[in-house]
Amino acid sequence: MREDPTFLSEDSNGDNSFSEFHRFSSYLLPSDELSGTVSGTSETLRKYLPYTSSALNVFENVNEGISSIENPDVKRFVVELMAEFLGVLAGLAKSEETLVLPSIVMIVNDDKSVLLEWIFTDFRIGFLIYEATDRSVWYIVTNQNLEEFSKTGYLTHTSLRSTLDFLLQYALRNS
Amino acid sequence: MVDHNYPDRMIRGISNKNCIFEDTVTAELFTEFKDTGRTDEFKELSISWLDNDGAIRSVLEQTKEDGTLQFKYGAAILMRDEIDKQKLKNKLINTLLSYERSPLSTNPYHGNLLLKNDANRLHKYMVASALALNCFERIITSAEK
Repeated sequence: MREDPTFLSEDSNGDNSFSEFHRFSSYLLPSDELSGTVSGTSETLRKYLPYTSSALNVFENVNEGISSIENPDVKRFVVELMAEFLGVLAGLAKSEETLVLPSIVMIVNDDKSVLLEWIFTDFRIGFLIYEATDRSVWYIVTNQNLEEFSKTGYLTHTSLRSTLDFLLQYALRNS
Repeated sequence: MVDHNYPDRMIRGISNKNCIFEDTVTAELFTEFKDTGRTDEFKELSISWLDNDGAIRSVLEQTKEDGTLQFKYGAAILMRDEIDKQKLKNKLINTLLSYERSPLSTNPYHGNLLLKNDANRLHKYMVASALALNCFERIITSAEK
């Protein structure tokens, strides 16, 4: 039997542990009430990103829009991606005292795919999520202030963590 | 080298609010390339060349069959020299992306951004994001025309 979705926020010991974050991520995946579960994310963030109150905004648009994703497989992968994103962000943000991070823009396309775009002044990070996860892609594009480069790749379950590590480290270093 | 065939700016109408984020545009605005059966293996994304203010009026006053505005969220202005810079700096973008004039009887300013047919979705979104990040100047609305 699964635990209550609010179990992490009920724990008030203030420990910012990465392993507990994995519990949260793994809790999300089998959920059959994805939108309800994800809406609990902000409470979890308050605990796990104690130094970064502005980071709460990162998932605001996704939280609001996730119920508009009709395809369950796309929705599941978006939730998985965001849960992993949250875990990586929490791990990297521990040593940051202040962060100003924009909200991720979420767009549901006519073909049922979902575009998640994280828009900064000098660079953009994007994820395009399809029903078949081996078709999903990520990209990063920077402007001339950041050497004007672009990278892109396919987003698979096995590469999720390493891809997010790379992208979020870059984002935190340059935001 | 200055190309006198093209003005410095082009505009793309915005019909979907999802294409706007705060005061900028999302990559989504530059992803709907249409296969029109061209023989040169490019897909088309409509723009209008900003030859004069008439181009802005032409886009912002365009209506749908039911009489409502086609681009009710305004239009994005793109800088052509920044597109040229992207093409110069990035061999892949240079291969995949181009532009042209393609006047219509109803819109003499009409043109297209062109994307190679064989661009995969990785490439398409990379190009779209580069356009949004590096070539976008500002959004113009009907209040400003």
